[in-house]
Amino acid sequence: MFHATLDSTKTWKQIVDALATLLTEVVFIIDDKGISLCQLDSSKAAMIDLSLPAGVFQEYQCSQEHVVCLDTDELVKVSKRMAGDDHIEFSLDDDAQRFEIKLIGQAERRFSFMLLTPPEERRSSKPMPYDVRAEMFTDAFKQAIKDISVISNHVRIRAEEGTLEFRGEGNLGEAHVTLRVGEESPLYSLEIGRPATAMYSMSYLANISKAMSSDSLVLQFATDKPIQMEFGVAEGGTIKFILAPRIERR
Amino acid sequence: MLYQRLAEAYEKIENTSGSLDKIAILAELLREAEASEIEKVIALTLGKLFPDWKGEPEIGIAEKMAVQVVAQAASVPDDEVKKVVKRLGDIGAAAEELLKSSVQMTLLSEELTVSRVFDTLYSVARASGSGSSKMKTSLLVGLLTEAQPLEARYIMRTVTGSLRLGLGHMMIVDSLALAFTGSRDNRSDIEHAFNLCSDLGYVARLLAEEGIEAVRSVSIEVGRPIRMMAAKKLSSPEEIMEKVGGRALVEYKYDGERIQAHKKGDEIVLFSRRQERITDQYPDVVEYVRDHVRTGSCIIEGEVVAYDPGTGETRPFQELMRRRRKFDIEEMTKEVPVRVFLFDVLYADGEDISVRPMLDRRSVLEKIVDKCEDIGLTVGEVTDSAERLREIFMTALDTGHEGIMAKAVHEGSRYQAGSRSWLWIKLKASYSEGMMDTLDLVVVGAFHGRGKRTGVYGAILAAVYDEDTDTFPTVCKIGTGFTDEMLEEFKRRLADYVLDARDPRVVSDLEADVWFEPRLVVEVVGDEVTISPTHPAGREKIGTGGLAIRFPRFTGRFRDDKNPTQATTVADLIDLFEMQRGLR
Repeated sequence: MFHATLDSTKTWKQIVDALATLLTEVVFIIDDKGISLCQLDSSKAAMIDLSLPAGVFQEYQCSQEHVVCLDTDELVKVSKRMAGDDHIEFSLDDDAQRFEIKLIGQAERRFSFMLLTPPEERRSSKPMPYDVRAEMFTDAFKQAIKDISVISNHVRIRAEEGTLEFRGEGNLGEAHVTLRVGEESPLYSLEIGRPATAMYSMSYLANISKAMSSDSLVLQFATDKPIQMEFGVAEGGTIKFILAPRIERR
Repeated sequence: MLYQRLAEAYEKIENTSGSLDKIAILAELLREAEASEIEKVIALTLGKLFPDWKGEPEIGIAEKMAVQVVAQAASVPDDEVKKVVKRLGDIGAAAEELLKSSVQMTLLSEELTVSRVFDTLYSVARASGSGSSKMKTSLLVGLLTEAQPLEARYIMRTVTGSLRLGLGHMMIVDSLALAFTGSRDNRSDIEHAFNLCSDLGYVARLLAEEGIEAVRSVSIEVGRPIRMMAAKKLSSPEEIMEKVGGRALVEYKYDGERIQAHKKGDEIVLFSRRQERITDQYPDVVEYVRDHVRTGSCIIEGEVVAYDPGTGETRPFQELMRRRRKFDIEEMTKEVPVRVFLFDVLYADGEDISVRPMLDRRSVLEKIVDKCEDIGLTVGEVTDSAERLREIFMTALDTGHEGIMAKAVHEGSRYQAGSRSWLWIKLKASYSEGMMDTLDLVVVGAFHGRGKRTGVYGAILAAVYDEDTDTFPTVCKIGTGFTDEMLEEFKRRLADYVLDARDPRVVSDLEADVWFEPRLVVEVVGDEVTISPTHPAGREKIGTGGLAIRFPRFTGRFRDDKNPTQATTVADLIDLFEMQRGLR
């Protein structure tokens, strides 16, 4: 049995948009603690890790664990039909064959989805050792990514002595964006265990950064290691994107 | 086996020109593979995950998507990939070069084994519906991300269907013989098993797991297509009589599509000459076979011919090809009704009939077929006179048939699966008139039309298939035989196959205005085969130049029933050339 309500369609749209950047099918794990999801995209270069504790929802009841696999496109289409003041009600039918989304507004609208067969493997994100942890305004990060993408298809991110630098090189030239940590700066916290530099693909970052919906963001990375971008959603929920680096071969 | 090992062998094979050396390299690789992997190794080497008749989806990644995949994996813009493709000539080499500089890591790296590559490509092939192109791209990007540059070269060539190792089915048969029996002497057993089951991967696995004896015991099975026996061509009735041993079954040659029907109870499957399932196109034929063939199980062959419901007369092949579609079949069966003329039976009620002489088979066929308007046997008679053969030929032409088939009837006149044999000889209208037989050529390029033909192609560059090297050398430029409608149709049909540069498998000294993927097969007649300095077909074998078709003309037939590797081959052309010389 599963039943939950959410009074903000905006939150749900943000979640669905984030999932749609990487996944064609979503696999929600629903249990008494809340809803979670942890999946690699099919190129295995990127991962999304979603956590929505029961407290995010206004009503939440779940008696046993359910694995709910849905087509992302369908979720996106329904989320586009949501009005700003609708309330959402989620449920699984009795024999757990269909997932239902009910939109309660001026009319009561009900969408029910076929459950797809979930993959056998289940992922869990392991905490990775990161040398750098930066907290910043999301918008500053988005702007930096857009700036670099003018010139290059990759961005090299470097952290040392109170600065976080984004750099791109292309056939036509170079672009640099430097953020210095400070109270007035959009980069308001920077912890460096050891200086780090790593390169990431723009084609992933451009899409991921578009899906970031909160005001602030926590970046963690290390030299030639994946980068984790974490931000909050609703009250107490989190979305983490993890992206593997590009490594130069020569 | 690691895919890396396969890629290294491919590179060696590609850089080796001698057939024997290629066979030896592949044999060494096959010996190293686990028996359970052999089927996948063969599938990847053939560039097809499964034989056509299994009805599994094909990988078929179009050039545009291939460019996007490489662009994403190498993290460069699409245009840059296109530039490199243009410079290096193929997407595989472009992937290799672009991935040399930097590479996307994955969060979860696994070893790139042959099985993993195969399984991922299978997932790519199966992805369908909305979002499938994103899924396909992403799976392939994932594969490239974990690939070494050399592996990337061959993965991209495999998915775009142009591995171009110069390894045909027959060379793989040789390699299998060498790898698992120590000598090429046993190749004919392997080839025979393949001809009976149309599944080289299966034969290979059987050989690796159970040995040559198991391969020898491969037999005909209902539901698994048998590679069709084909006929040689001659233009003189006397010579035909001599070749077949003095006595022949002479049958009308119908202008239709050859099918092989497999019946198991009420379950009927129809296969084309390409071993593809075409059951859905002919629900009427399925019904005829179900209702009028009186055996529990059988494999029979015949020609499906379209006819005019008003006059009862047969209609040309082109009309029949309108049945080649996936929708509105019911409507089409009314618009283009068909009849079936059976001419062979290979298996009936648990017995392999294919090994029996021709007339025995014919009499089994007579017995099991309940003849009616819609389904019956070909018109045919046995004669030992060349004069009579000539008469039958003339009557056949007068009654609107393509010509005749003369078939040997002696003790050894068994059905020779998969081979073109002197047991069957065809005589068609065109070559008895001193002209050449029709050829099935592959369209590889075109020249822009001028004047009246502005906006369509003015001439088509056509090629034959070279089985030894898996290439398509050109043989002529065709500028005549086109109506305005045909030119429009060429333009429309070829639109999907346009490439930015010459396909690496196409061998041409001419620079076409537009290049195509070698896919479209068309029927062409010419006056004779000549030696030419401009066309490369068979150049190594002839020495003084390549072979070309003199005064080629399009007959109006698009051979949708043939795939490019079933087009006229260099070997066919050399045969024709030598025959022509002998006649002079």
